[in-house]
Amino acid sequence: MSQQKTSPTTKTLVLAIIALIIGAIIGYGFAATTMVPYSKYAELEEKLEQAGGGAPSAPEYTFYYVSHGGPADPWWAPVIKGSQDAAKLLNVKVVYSGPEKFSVQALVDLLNSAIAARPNGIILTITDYNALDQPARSAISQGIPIIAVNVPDPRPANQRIPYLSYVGQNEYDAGYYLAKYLVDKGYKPKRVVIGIHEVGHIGLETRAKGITDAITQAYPGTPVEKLDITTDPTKAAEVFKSYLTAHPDTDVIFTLGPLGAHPALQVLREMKLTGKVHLLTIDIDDTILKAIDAGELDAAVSQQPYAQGFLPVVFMYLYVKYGIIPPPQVPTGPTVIDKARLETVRKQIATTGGA
Amino acid sequence: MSISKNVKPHGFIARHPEIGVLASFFSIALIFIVRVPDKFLTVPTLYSILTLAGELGVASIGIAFLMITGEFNLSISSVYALVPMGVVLMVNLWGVDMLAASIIMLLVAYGIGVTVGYITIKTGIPSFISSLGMMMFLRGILLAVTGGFPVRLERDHWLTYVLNGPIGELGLRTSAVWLLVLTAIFAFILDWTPYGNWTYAVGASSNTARELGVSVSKVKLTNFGISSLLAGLAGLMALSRFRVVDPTLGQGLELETITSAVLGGCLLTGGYGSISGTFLGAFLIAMTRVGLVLAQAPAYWYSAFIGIILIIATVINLFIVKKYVTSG
Amino acid sequence: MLLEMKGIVKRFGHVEALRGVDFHVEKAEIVGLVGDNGAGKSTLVKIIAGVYQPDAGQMFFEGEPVVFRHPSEARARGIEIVYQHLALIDLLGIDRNIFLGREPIKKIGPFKVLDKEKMEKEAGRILQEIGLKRIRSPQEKVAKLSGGERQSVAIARAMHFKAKLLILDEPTAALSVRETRKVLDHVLDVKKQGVSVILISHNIYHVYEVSDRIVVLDHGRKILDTPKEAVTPEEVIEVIRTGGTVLATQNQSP
Repeated sequence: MSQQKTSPTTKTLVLAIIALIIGAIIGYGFAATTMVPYSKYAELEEKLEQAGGGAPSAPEYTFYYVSHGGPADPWWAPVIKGSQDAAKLLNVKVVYSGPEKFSVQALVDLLNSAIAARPNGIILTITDYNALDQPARSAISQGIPIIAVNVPDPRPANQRIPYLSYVGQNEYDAGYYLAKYLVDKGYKPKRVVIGIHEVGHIGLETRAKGITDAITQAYPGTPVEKLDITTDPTKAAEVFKSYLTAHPDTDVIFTLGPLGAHPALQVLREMKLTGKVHLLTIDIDDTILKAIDAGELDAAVSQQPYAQGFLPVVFMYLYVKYGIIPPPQVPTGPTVIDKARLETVRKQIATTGGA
Repeated sequence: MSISKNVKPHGFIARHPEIGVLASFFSIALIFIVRVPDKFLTVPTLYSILTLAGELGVASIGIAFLMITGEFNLSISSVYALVPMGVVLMVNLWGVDMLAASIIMLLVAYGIGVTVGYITIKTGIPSFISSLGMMMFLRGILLAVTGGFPVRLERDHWLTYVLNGPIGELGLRTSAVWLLVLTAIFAFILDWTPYGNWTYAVGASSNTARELGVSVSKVKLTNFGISSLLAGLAGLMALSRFRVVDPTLGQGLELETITSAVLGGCLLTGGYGSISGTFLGAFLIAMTRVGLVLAQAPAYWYSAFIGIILIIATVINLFIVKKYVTSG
Repeated sequence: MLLEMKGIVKRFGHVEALRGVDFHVEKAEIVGLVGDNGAGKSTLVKIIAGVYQPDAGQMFFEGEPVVFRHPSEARARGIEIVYQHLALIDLLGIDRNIFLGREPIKKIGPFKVLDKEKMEKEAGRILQEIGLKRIRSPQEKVAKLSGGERQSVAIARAMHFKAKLLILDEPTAALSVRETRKVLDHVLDVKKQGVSVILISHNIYHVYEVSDRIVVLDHGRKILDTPKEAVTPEEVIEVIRTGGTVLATQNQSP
């Protein structure tokens, strides 16, 4: 028969251990937010501080950077960094706000909050031009200029939101140029599969469309299929495996982010298909670069996210302070990275934390 | 024994909650066998399904065990990422041996489970809510610590081969072994030990159990801990194969494990269920995903299909409970 | 005397549930404990069963002074209480219910495993003893039993674990006529085996039928303690209804 009451000492001990664990987790999380993991930025931070020199005075302007990219998406980390670095250099305050999970509604709410704060300028991703149209126009009519970034308003100039400029690369081009790279190399694929890790995500779907268009324009008969691989690596791996089993003639795999690239790499290794099946992906990280170097991955496309953080802040500053009107579009990519370009890209990563 | 010889099939069905999922399982398998006989009924496909069911199944066992106790733990989806994340950081930053780091993080996982249970018991908040809060809290910490970047395991270690290494060339991995062994262990504990009897009792009627001297708090806290521990172990299995942990890892696992458990015959209200049934539930989910791809179904059908299966399977299970278990 | 309680006081906040109650039970005796709602009957038996502890007063069991801090302590001494609603768990089998918290174990190596054969055999025997023939297997779920059958199983469970004092709280409250009959017969059986019973019920006729002695509580005090033969059920009802004043007048008349 079990004992009924745990003695007070056992209870206290259990409580103490639980408190310790929670405390440790909180403490670590707290410490980590004030430190940057991997001291990736440590060098850069030091350099910037040295360059900054004298005592910081109050920021001249305040800009809000409202984007659909939140803290969970590692792609946006260099963007955030870029915007903060520009802010430091120009002595402006840039408030970055993005939702934790992709949600257009959350983005609209954040935009409205930003407008209410009456900043000197707003930098905004036009993720859904219908939803953002009214609040964006309202901001502009209140005298808050807007620079669009990462996702533009695709409507013709007289219909779209009257922002000053669009800085960035759109998702469609990212996919298109990646697939075009393969086509331009003279390769004719027998069957192409695109692993999409978040079905319905407008950005990823657009990338997929770019890829599909590039292939089908060049080779109208080649089957190009989308595959739901989910964000879970185990599921993605087994789904890829099943697809390759169902379609042994597949010779090209496209993935739309590291969440797809990592399991794809693993599957090709396990099935001993590296080199026989071409793998191309969008967005890069360490693992992907290493794979390019090792010949496991053909190429990856990068949008140079740091620039998408840095440049709009600069243009907004120039406009607000000096009345300099920025060019209507400032592309930041796409750059296709294959083995030949690895060196340059490595530098970008080393200095900005992303590419 | 003279009494049990006359047991009607009635009683047999009542005592085997996995009957429902077996029926669903064979029906679904039949569909795929008919559609793609040459590709579906192969050993590599079986191994692929087992591999896919590996981590999900291990985590589901813990959740099923807890559900039978009458409680939920949604925080396991964050623990699934937290444990491997912690191991990788310890190994990369401080050079801790992976085995030691794993043991430490698994203990932390157990502690987190106990904490959720403790909060639930002390405050009276339903465990669904308290564990939901913990899930979001932990996920937030994960994002803060990593800045959204995935973390990579930089050193090789024999533990990864033990947890999820390949067996042979046809796609079988040790994760399947872990799944089968853990299923056997927990099915045994549930049905063949006094502790298992207490688990059932606490889930079915904690007041009565308490009356009869069962330490309800102890059983609940322990099972909360177990659910978290198994989820952490599953996370380590995922880490072992891919050597990378993305901070979004595990999102959705909290509902998938409940799905497996419910498919396997566990009642949401507790007190009734089956570990072997849960294993079959996870297997069924994995089989559906693999089967749909092999059958070349349009890419986005998966969710709809699994939703329908869940509803039908649950209706079958509830029907069985009503007819054979609770009727007089 | 099997159980003796002297001057038991129990307070909940400023409510005095028991105000100095003397109570005793002899060996192999059935005591009917009656009274209106709020009289303190439940509180009294819960103190006996170890759910509460008295604020004042003494309790003796088998001659020794005792204080039970938990039902399991009372249970270890042979005091079992069967509540109306909490007797058994529907979703579990009958045998698992009977042995819940006291599971028979056999050892396989270092592991403690349920002795399922023993459970089945003994549970089967219990079912036969209480005449539950329609249940084929002791592993069937309790949900299949009727209310009266459940009471019988709960009582038989207590008996199986060698209870010396059995407390039944409203055992016949929700039962049909036939089932009530069965339970009352079972109670008489229990007495034949030398076990004492405290029977709480609102149905004075049921109580009267099986009890040796009747005790009436009113607002935390004992107002009547009499052998059954000395009163009629109607008189007992009258005592309860008037809160004891009818007795006072009785005592005064010459």
